[in-house]
Amino acid sequence: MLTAAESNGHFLDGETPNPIPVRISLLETSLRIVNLGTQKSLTWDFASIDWEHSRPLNGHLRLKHKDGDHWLVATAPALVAEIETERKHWLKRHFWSARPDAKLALQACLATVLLFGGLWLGWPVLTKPVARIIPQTTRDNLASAAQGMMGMSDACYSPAGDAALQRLTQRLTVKRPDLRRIKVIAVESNMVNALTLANDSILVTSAILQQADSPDELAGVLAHEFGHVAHQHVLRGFIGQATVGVMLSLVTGAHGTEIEYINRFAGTAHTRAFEAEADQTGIVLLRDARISSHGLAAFFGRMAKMEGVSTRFTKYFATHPPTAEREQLMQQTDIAGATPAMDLRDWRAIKEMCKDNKKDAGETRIGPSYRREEPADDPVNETPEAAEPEIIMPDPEPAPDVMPDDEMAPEEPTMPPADPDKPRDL
Amino acid sequence: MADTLATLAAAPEAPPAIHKLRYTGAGSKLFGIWISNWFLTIVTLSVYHFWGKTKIRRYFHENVLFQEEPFAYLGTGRELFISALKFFAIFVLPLGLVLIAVTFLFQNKTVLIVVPIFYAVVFYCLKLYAQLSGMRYRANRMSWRGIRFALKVRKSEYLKLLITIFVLNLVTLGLYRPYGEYRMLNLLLNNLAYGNQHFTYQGDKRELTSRYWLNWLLVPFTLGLSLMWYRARLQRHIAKSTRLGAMEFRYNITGGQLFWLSFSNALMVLFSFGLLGAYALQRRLQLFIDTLKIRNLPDFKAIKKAEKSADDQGGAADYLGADEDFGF
Repeated sequence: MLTAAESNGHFLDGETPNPIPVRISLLETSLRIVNLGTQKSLTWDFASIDWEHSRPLNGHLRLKHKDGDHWLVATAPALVAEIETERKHWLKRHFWSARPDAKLALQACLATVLLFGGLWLGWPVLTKPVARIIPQTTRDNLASAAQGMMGMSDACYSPAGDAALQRLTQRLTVKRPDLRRIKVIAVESNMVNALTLANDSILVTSAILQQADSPDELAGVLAHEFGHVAHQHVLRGFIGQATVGVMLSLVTGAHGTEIEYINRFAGTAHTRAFEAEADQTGIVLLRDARISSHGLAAFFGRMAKMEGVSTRFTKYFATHPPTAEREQLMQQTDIAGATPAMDLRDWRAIKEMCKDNKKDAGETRIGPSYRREEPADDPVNETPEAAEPEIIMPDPEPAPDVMPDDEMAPEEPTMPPADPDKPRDL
Repeated sequence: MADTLATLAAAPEAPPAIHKLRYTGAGSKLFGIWISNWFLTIVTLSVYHFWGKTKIRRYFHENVLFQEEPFAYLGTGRELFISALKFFAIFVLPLGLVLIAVTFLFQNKTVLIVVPIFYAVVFYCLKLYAQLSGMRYRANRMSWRGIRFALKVRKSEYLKLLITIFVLNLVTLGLYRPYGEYRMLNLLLNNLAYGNQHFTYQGDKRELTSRYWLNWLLVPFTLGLSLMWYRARLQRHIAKSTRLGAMEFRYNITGGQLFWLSFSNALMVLFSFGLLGAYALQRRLQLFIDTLKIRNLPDFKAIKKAEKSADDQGGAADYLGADEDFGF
């Protein structure tokens, strides 16, 4: 009579597929196996068993030896239960040594998560110096590609309108001479938008020019875009997104589809941070130029009505902060001594820019080779419809040449937009 | 004596024994593995999938029984992971770096067109290699009663045949396909072994050609669904023409069954956003097991462990998405 800790089973020696009847005895942490035919015996210590391939299956316990394809199959329920109990105790004491495969899985997964987590969180800082060394030709190429993709290659141009935009740029950058390199270009497009390109050009669409209710509104929109330029959001976004995206796709190989979606979703947190940062810098620029932020608030107000209500859930998927919150921020910002952003002549000239362009549609294309023509000394006088100024330009106080660093970058932003080529829009 | 002889002579020949596979898996358990794999794969930025895939393969193998003895899958996530890393370090990374360098150094339109094409061709060839490597790996890690299977096809031979078939299919607008499949089956099945016992494939390609061409003509009218009936014919043909010693196979699947399986599985996966993928796989395996019949048994006493075959690792196939086992 065999005891509970001893029972019959079969053994597969890995040499032939013929099961060998054996008697199996459990001896604390080892198994004694006796060939019922030859009476030869051998002992399997628990440490010599490949526990990652050994398991109970259909009421039997199938154990595999580490060295080779030797299998031991215990079939008697009582013996199976005894071995299982001992196995559990033993595995508790030798958790990792008995599971080298699981150990490597944990190490590999942790290393990957830490590497990419660190990279994902840290790249907004890491990309700052990199963005500074990107050559102008590369910036121009990126800008040109983005323009082409957005279908915004037809520039509107009129000497008076262009000069008016330049004057507005001058005013907004009164305390930021480093931003005076910015080129503001009006383009023909039905999209109500303004966006920053990688080469620090800012495109304002004919639709936004038409819809803007006041010069302050346009100035607010531009101030926000200047904020993107000030922080190099477009280039940093492109570099960060490209680096993380390429590395992820290389690591995941053919299994990156879900990961790509997660990367995109996670990226929205960074774009929201960039947008908020651009809003803050825009307020600083408006304050320096003594232009009211209520114009931008009015713009956001219109946008918010078009967008509808954003819920607590959907806002985590959005690339921008909730427009209503942005409207509120601009509304609550009080800019002392604010005066209108430009006079009526300039405003009209800007409003008319793209109307004139329609006559010469396609003649002026912008891209890397585009350079704005220097405005005439007094473009206003050249405008046929020049009218008496109804709004007097303020005389901003002289400003220090460079803004303190802490004002330029009030806080560290985080990751970039989903599409690397996508310019930073409003 | 004469009566005895007469009785013996009149005795009908005993019908060959019919054997079947048995599947003991439970959909709920497989679903649990599937979901945890899905979650861990996402959380670990896909690195866990090497182990997840191994779990699924192991589950399927261990729950298919023949002669009440389960199959075993001896592959590990570690093997897949390490071989994928090696493939990445040896091929993907250097090629990628060269591609980036060339793109930035030569801002020339011709270079920008030619280099990606060159890369696409290189990766296609690598994928074909990896495909065979993956098949050899899976065969080598599958065992029954402690004896492993093996696929002993040389990579050069496989690649040469695949490219030949690809070109001929292209030239003949797909009419060559049944011949190509016949040649590929010939290569693969005649080099498949269980221990030292080789499978043999002796198919008649005429069984495939007429049915294929008929279905090929119907493709424009059936949106390609007619090929489902060809696939069923092909699978029956494979079973009928393959033997392992005295062991014969019969696979009674019909075009209708295959169509319904594919259609219903596709709907199930689509409407569950992939969450019911485990059930779809199980249904496919279950249909295979239900419709496969095995006649006779090989002489197990004559079967021995094979000489060690090439130790392929499945990582490259996995990395390039060239693993087509359970569709995981």
